[in-house]
Amino acid sequence: MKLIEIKDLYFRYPFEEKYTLNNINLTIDSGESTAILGPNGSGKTTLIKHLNGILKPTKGDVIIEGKNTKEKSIAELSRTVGIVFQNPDHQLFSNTVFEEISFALINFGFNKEEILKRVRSMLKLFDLEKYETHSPLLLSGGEKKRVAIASILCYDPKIIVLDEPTIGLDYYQRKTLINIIKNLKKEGKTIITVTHDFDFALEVAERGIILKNGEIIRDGSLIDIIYDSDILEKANLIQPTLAKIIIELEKNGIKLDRKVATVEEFIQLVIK
Amino acid sequence: MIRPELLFFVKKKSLIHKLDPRTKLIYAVAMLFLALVSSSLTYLFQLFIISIIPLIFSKLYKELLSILKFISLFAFLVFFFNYIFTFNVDISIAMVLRLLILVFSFLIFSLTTSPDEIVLMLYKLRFPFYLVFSLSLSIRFIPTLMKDAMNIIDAQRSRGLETQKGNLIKRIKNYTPVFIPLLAISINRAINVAEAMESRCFGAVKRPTMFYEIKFSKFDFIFLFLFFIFVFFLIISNFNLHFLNLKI
Amino acid sequence: MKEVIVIKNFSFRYEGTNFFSLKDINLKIFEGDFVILAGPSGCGKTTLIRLLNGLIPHFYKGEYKGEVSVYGLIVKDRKTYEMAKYVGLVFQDPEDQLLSMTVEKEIAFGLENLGYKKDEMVRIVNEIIKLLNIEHIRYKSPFLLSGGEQQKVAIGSVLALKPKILALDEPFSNLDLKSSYNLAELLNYLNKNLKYTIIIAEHRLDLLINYASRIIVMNEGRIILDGPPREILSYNLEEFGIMEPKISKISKLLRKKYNFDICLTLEEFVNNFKKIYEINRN
Repeated sequence: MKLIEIKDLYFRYPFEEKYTLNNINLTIDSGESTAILGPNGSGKTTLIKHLNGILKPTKGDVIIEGKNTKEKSIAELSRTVGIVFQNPDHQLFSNTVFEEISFALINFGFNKEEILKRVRSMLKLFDLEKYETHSPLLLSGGEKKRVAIASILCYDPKIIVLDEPTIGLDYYQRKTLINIIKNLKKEGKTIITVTHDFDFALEVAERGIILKNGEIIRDGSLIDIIYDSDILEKANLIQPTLAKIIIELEKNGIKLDRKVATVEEFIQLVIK
Repeated sequence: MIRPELLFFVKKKSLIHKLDPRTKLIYAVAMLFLALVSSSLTYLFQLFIISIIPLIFSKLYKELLSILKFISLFAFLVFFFNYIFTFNVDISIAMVLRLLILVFSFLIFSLTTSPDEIVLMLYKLRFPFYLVFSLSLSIRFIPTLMKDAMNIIDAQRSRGLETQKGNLIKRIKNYTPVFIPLLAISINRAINVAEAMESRCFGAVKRPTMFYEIKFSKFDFIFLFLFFIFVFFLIISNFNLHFLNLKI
Repeated sequence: MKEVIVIKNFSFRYEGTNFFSLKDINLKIFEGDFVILAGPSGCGKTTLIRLLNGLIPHFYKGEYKGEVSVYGLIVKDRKTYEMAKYVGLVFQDPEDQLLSMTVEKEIAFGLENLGYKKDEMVRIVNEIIKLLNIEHIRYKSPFLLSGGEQQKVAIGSVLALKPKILALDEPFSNLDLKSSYNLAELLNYLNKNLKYTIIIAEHRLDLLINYASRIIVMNEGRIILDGPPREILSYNLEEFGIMEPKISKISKLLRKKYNFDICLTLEEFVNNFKKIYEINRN
């Protein structure tokens, strides 16, 4: 089922001459996990801001669940599309972590019992129970990020958009995040991850969309994209090491299956 | 991207942009004084013509045109109210001319002087370094602050914040989720900035030197010389009339 | 080799906290070293960087035990601006360390503060602009640059003070991968060709692994490993919250089953793999 449909989208910021987004055409089905990749300044964040109506197209249409974003408020669209922005410091403001997570629930008119139930389950899911009454502003970077994600997931949006989720995370925090996203996928959520980090994208997404100067220059299976050296070069992206290894081995006459995405899969393949 | 510099300084290569900010300040203050000493219509009209000349050399036609639209409305109001109170067309016109002269001569300063130059000017005028530096830092961080604010508003609206709901007090309250993160981020930035300054020898000497200097060049001398000649002839030619006969 | 940084029995607790951010640190860094300080967030690597030019204890106060010396100078007894001539610090968020309206003025910032004469400043600024190859952005506002360019300018602005050591605190965290690799290459150039001693706090090793001469692993305020890259990579670093480079990780996993060496570069890996592949096929 088509959940997101973007048709001939052009977008230009006021005061700017150049279009930040150029002729974007894109459909995303329910349950897909997509990674939007591209270097900084390629228009990734501008694109996702169209999904809940923060930005409206200069030309063209964005249709979410059959409804044009031009006719809906941000609040209405956000019920369906939950966006977790890059920097948690841009949203944390409450006195306690509990209040922070309940903010969206209150705005969307959930009743008291439901709020209590949902916040509790989020605190548990993100291992934040011990911080329930702490100020979110005083947590560490990784914990802040978890609170920010929880404050979106709590109202159970169908589509979850993560903007550069790995920035500022260390190895542990990153691993936790990968597990959270994998669980969301199992629940059947539609997930869009904006990132320039291929290794992360390969762990959580199957489809890859590559943006360059506001245009989609490639849309397809992520695993195929990482072997497409030309398109990566064109988009100013660094080829993942795993793909480099396999391509280099091929040049040396050792042919391996190109379907490996993670180190673990690679090892299994080689041992076989 | 937001460009707050559009509100004030417009970058261009023109003779007026090249002038020392002090020259432009002297000019503006002199014009202010000259516009106030007499209400003789001929005199004010001649002064008005003089005030247009530097604008022509500033090459800011587009910007001036849009400002002029706004000013003409304002000028009309000034004329209208003066006329209502005095029933004197001459006085009303004089007031309008004064207004235009003042606006034009200060526009020359504000449109063609970069914030950096203003800071340098204050420093050269022996204002304390800490004051001058704080001012320049605040100007530098305006766009950063605006970017932060926009990002915060986007993030909170994505969590269902509706700022336009309710009565006035409620609406102000609606902005709490915007102000608190903005304050927290700004404090954090301030610490980072201080750390970076400290690491680059801030405070090592009492009065640091400046990489950019403002200096009177030959253009400044020519500009001021021409200006004084104009003013000299203006005063000579008007001296017999109702000069110094202030009837405001 | 000449010792340039010596830290002896050092512990530090920030004012207002009840735990030590650094514990019993003993460390010597030699001239020309390229050191990666690795560890998860909160391990104390940022605190260690702040010691080097005296931000601790002059800017960040707290309980300071032990001794830190740089080029023989006891850091605690010196002003931060004196130390800036030995240690240049570059921070995580480029935007917060760029304070001027143009790139060239940014580079001159430290020189202004030291009261340099105008022509001397111009000479040094020109030199730095040439070194970093940033002539094209010379008159631009640092605010409008890309993250990679901003970090380059930040580096330029500390290089202008002619330090001997360059210490960077997670300088890549706001950059995309391509800009990160470019910046890493620049650091390598500064280290190999211009003999700067480089210390960089970073939890992703793959960016720097081919350039570093030494890796120091920190955890909970202590140094737990310290040695050349090949040696350090033989440990399971993920246990300590550090992202290992893919190539060494794979070679280590293969080592469990085959006679595989720990590799750092792609070339090494492929050669090793070929060898093992031939042996196992026969």
